[in-house]
Amino acid sequence: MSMDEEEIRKLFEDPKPASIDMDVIEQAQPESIQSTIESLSAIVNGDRSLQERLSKSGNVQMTASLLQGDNVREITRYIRELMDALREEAITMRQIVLNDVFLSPSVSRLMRKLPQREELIKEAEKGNLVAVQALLPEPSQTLEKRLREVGQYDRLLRQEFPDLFVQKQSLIFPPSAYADETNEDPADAKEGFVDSVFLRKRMEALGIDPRTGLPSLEQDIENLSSRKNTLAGIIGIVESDVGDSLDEAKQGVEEPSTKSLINIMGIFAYIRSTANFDNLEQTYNAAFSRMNTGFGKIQSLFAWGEISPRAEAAGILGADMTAALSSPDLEAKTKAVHTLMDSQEYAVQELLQQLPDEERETYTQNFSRVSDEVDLARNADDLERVIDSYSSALMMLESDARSQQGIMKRMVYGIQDFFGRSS
Amino acid sequence: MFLLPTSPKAERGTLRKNHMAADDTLAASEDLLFEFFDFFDRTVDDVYSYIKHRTRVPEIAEDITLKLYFSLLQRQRFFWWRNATQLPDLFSLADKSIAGVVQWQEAANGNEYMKEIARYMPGENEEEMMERTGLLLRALKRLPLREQKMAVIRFFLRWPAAKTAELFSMKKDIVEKAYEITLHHFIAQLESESSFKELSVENVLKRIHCGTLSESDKAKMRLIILEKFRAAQMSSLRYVMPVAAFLLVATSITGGIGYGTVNPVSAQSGIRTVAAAQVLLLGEKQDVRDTILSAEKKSRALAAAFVEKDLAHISIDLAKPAVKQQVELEQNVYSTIEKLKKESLLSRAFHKALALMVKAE
Repeated sequence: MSMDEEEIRKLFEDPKPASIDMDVIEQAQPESIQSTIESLSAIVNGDRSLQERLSKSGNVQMTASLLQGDNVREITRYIRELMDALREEAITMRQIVLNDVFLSPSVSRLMRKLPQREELIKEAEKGNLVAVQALLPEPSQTLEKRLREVGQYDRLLRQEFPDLFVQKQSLIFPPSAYADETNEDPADAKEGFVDSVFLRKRMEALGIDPRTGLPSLEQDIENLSSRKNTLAGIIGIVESDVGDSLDEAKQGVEEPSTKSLINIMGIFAYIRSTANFDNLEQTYNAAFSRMNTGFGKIQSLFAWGEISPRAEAAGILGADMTAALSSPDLEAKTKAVHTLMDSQEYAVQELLQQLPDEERETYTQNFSRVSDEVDLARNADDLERVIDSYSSALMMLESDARSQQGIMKRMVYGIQDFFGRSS
Repeated sequence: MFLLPTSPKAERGTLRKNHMAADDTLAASEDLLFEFFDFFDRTVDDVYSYIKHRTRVPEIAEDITLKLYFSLLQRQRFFWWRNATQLPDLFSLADKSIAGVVQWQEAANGNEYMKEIARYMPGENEEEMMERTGLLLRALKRLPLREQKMAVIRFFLRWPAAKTAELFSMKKDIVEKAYEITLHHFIAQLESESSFKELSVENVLKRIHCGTLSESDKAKMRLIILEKFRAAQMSSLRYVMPVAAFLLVATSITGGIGYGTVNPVSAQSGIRTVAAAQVLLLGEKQDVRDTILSAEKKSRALAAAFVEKDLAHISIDLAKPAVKQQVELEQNVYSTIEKLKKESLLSRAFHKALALMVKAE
């Protein structure tokens, strides 16, 4: 049995909630009641928003006595509350369709060429959803695809504009329904529809002009393209593959859309997540930390403005060494690393004197091997590895030499290190 | 030493300078103190009166008021992130202190408080006025504790229902009802007394207009709190400072001697120099890393900004299935209910027919 739209509309126009008398339940056969409750339960379970509305109101619980049909009062209350919830939802849904979709400027612009647009709005104003459904154009994409997109955009906006979701007032769900963070896509068409409207309206309210940020991203991609070689070194893939990815990103910026930009974001997120990228970050941070004495670290806390690590490094190494190590010329770099190691030879020898003969011999061999590896380096990556080994060897030597001293002296060494005194 | 102004907010600018000059120790706590004394000025009349009418001993009321505000100041000093205390909180803290006031303390005070209240009582002579006061105060004591508090707020503090409702976050009609019940209980106790026979209890209660603290009393209280606060600050420093100073001197001396006399066994210079070289060698990669992070951030922000247009398309595409789902939902629910109604009607008709047939037989 089905009701036509006119009848449904009349039910919703009634200011009192549609109700059911207790007599109806009392007089009905138990089988009828049971089948009604089962049908209603199935209907509610098939509609996420109605389900949320009912569960969040905290009034309606499907209990065993309801299913058995032996509690007339409870069954009557359940049906009445369901009717109330349905009525509220029906009204909200009609309001969203008319005000937030058909009369919304961004959707109106897209629908301006639709022949039945005027009629559609007229029917939406009347709340005649059956007519609205008939007049709406067929979707250009499948429902599943659209729901996936809504879920994806929802997660994107949550990440980018978390403040938008703090006061997320529901258009159709009670507000608390959104309190739980979810990574799931919308469950059904209605939920996806309402979510998409919510997100769009928030973005409209923000009023961002997306095109203003494009040149800056374009510049970043351009910079990366000119350093394909370095980038390939970081990720550990061949240069041509890096080139392909950057070309794809460049094309995405030329034809910007949410999808193309999410794609670009994915490319960079992938690069950032590679193990080599992570290693680079750790090595750099460790080197930066070693470059500063304890006192220097405290001083930097009170420094006005940010201190550039490279400026500090240049200050320690001097102009010539800085120029050589920063140059793209491998030979200049190699020469600079040799000079650097030679300059530390005296200190190394002094530390070696503190060690027993056997250990001294081992360390001497290690330093000699590291020195040989400098000449064997074929690129900047190899040089980085060599200098990392040298640094480790130096630290171990210092530690072993100090372990030969008494505990009090070792404490004093700690103070000396803190203030930066060194041999 | 200085006296705090009566309205710190009004003269905040000039007084701040005076404070700084007067006492540097307090300068750091200026904001805390100004906020606190602002609150003190707004609330002390009500708090003091409430305690006084509950304890009936002005000296004890003054002591409790001082302790209450001092502990509040300490609390704000150490737990500044907590929500500001409100008047009802102060009342409930006061209630705890009042509960500790024993009967003999009230008796030891003589009848000074009674005399104060008696001034507002109708009567030909002092004796009559005192008798009525005694009856009134005894009636008040006999009320349940909750009503005693309500009576003090209504008849002695003279708070209108709206104010009580607002401060205690209650509904106005509930407060009005509570006021009415309190009055009713007063009347029930006093109407049988001969000295109240020709009087309206309500009108008698309305005559009570007790004064509040004088400005000089308040200034004195402020000063006491301030002195106590400063003493408390100093006392915590008194214990911490010598220990800290000793540790600092001891470590400086031993460290300094060691630093100057012990020959370093160190590769620090080398380690720093090599680290600096590493920073320079990794510089280019670090630039690339920064650019990648920046590009990722920008592309996410741009993708979010472009979402608006895409969502408009999605709204249109999802409108049809969403409307269909809603129409089906409404139809299914109403059809199910209508079906039940019809089946119930049929069942009722069948039973009626059956009953008629049985009757006819």
